[in-house]
Amino acid sequence: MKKQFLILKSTALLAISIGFYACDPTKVETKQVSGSVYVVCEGNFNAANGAISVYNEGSKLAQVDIYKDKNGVPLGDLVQSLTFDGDKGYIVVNNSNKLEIVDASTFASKGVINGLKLPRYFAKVGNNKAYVTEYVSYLENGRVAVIDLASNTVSKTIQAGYLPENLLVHDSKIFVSNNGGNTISVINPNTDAVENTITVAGAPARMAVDANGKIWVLCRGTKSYKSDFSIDLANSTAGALVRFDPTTLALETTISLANVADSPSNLMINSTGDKLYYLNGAVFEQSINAMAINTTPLINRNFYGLGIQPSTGTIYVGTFGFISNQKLIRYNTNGVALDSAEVGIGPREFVFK
Amino acid sequence: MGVNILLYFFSIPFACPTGWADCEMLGDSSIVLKDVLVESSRSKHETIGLQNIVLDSASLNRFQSPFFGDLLNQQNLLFVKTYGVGGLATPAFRGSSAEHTAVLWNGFNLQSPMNGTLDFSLLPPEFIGEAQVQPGSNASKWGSGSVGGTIQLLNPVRFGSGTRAGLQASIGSFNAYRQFAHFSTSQNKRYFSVKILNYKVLNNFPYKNTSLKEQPTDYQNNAGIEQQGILAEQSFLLPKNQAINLKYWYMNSERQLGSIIGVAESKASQQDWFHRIMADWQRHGKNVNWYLRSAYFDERILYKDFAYGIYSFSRSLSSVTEVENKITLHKNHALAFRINNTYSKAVSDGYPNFPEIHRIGGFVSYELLAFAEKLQANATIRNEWVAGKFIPIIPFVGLGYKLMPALELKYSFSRAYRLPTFNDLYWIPGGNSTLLPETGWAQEGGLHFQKQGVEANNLKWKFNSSLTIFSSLLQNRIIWQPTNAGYFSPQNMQEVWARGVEVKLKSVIDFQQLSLEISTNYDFTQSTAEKVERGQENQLGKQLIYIPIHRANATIAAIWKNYAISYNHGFKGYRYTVADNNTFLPSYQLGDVQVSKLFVRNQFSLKVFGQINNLWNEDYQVLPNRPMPQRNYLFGVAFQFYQPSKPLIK
Repeated sequence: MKKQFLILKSTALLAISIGFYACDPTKVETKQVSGSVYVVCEGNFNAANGAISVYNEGSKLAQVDIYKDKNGVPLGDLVQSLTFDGDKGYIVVNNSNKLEIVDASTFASKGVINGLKLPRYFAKVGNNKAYVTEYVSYLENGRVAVIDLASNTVSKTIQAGYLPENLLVHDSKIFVSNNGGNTISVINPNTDAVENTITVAGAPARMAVDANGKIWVLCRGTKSYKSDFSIDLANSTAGALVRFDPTTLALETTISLANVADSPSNLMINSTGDKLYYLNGAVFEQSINAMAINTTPLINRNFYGLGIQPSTGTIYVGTFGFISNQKLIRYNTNGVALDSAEVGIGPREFVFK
Repeated sequence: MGVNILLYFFSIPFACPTGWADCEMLGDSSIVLKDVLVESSRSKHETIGLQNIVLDSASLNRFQSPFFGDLLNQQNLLFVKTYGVGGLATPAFRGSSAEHTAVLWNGFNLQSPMNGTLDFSLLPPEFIGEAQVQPGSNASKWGSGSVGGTIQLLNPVRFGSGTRAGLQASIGSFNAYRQFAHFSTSQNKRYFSVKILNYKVLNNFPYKNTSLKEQPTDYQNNAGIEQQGILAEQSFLLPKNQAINLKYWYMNSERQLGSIIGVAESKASQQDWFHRIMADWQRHGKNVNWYLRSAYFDERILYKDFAYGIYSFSRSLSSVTEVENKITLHKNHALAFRINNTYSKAVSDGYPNFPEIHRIGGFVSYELLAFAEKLQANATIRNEWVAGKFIPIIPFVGLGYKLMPALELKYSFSRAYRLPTFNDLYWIPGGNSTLLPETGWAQEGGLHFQKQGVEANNLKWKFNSSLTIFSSLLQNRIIWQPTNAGYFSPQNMQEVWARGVEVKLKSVIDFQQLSLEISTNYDFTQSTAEKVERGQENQLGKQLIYIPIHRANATIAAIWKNYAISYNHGFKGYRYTVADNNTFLPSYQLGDVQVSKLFVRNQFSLKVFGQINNLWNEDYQVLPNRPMPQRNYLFGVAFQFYQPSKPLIK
């Protein structure tokens, strides 16, 4: 009988010893990097691991998550955009429904505006006044929140189209691309009224102003599908680069992409305003004077994020991935790879300070 | 007779007083029918070379848990990823994922044809008569999905088990109310059983909000659950050793999908409801057994997110028919043949049409006993015809060799596969209809020691232990990755190597009115990405996310007279939360305790129980930012009436 209790005792002892065997990895201290290139890293949906990475062009070092390193808490879920205004940075955190306000150099938290509904982009539109686009929901039209930057509160909202996306401030007008439709809403920032609506092409997204003062809008195109699950080309529209005049609001050019199935994204322009860049499974360059779409990729690789360094024209791209840290890769204006650095998850935009 | 009847009487749904397999014993009257006892289990001979951990009603009822997934997690039989309390719970055997865990309800695979998984929060433990947890690939018997392991959910039928009726009610922290009623009756040739469940919980528990600097205590919101279900069974014994079994299972579950820390307040909810019907006919001859089985599943999900304005409905229909023939050629040789026909169809907002899949599969299996029955061997070969094409041949070889009467060496070598799901093939946008099945090779070896005895003073003891080492390589793993068009599309991309060690020990002592059980287990699992897509090289060789490398568990259960106490202590090691292993969730330990007392008078019994979950008040997360409750309580009563069946013709 003693033997049997020994078995019992040894089972219990093993159980206890296992219970105390806990050894977690030690956290690696992050290196502080100061730089002038900020990377908006979306993070994985519902994981609340979005981040802002910072990159130093001299040392070529990056710090993956400056907000969390500084404030000790994660930034939030789906970091959408970053806009600097003086000594402040405004970070739109889409699926945390908030606008995070930080110190532009240290990224120390300076305040937060909660309660936005699926916010997308921020733009300063006047003294102590900013707009933030809000999708609101996929069932109804979106809106533009008017933010009082003195009190950090939403003072009112402006009705916009379906899924209002990008904001562009130009010529005392605010242009809002309604990504769920095919229009641009034009808002007067003094009255906060939608004064005009321009019809462009399907799914307008990012906008840019070229050397001639014209506005280009990248339309992603609308897609529908056939019963055999393939794309229904007859009822889909190709993505397009559309140019309009910001003064007359007249549509000037529509350059469609070659394949109806294509969904281009991430429109950027160089600092001289003569070359457009966008992503469509590869990086494409398009002269503002070309009449047809350039079908030869500049960099033949699929990326998630794109940015153009304003003074050097260096092309910054972010690799496509949401379950691990990604890379920022730099290319010269001829599309030759220069170097890379590790940044956060889902690097979607670059902000050059 | 009296004692055994009583034992069995207590076993459902009460904790079994002996805590061991005695629960399986039936009264004298039932033993008469033992030869024709109809078991819906088909797996007895199908796990040669593999582990088969049987969870009888005693171990299923030692702790009260609203969800079967939580029980498996608590007992550390595998790791279940739970997206919050009662949220989506998906099992992961040996570093694999939910799509790689075949879950069979009386032999029929419950994995969704749409996403390849089964939500373990939709399995009430009360509806499971017996569960068998079988780690390791056994795809040649169970088909697509049995890659990491297989879980058998069984509702055994016991003819001549008398009439039993019971009511159980419990009340728990965070506004949890659960009621369960059951009735079963069986004289010698008929069996009828019905179980009804109703459950409601708010889950408004406090948690530490780690997304804010001050880490304030917030209360989980939008996490309520309501579930109702019914399981009805009817069986008949027919002349010439024939039997017919019919089972019907309906569930309706409505749950709010709880808020995630750092994410906008959730306004999402999901309703799941299903009808599952199965019927089988069996004929047991002297040397030849025939089985004909059929099942029909109709499963629906309605997902609503008021924050996004998303309203999404999907429904899948599956029909399975199977014929099996087992032939005993000689006392040491047996053959089995099976042909399975499965048809599935789905309707979803994510698909523009109604995708369907038709599969005909079959296997031939040979069993051998040799060397004075010391060697048990099984060789199985399977093939399957899917949508007009044959998949690769799927072989299995399992061996068991008794080195000593108490010590068995087990080994198995097998190929596993998983078919792409409807989502993989047809989801808009991104579905890839050219995907190949995932395939892999697995092998494992283990030592199993089992010894029991009775001492002169009538002390009964039993000791079980096992050590298993496994290694498996899964190729063509389907990974959704970004495409040129800006959305994700699945590709046969990744390669995963999973390997590890599993140790299990269990000791039981029965002496006079005391029964004591101590069991412990430990799992070491390394599951790494061996091939990744371009640009994701930082994931190479890294542990897959959410797979703990170390897991351990210990249970101690004592029963003295009519009192019972059980304590379970579980340890889950750190889990990486990103594929490059940069961030992880810390390890955690949970202690649960249950105390109960049984009152018996004639044919009536009443059990009163109290339970404390997370006794040591651990602040933990299973998955990142999904809050989990700290210490919480449960109190309940279970009333039962039992009338043995009339004596039978001997």
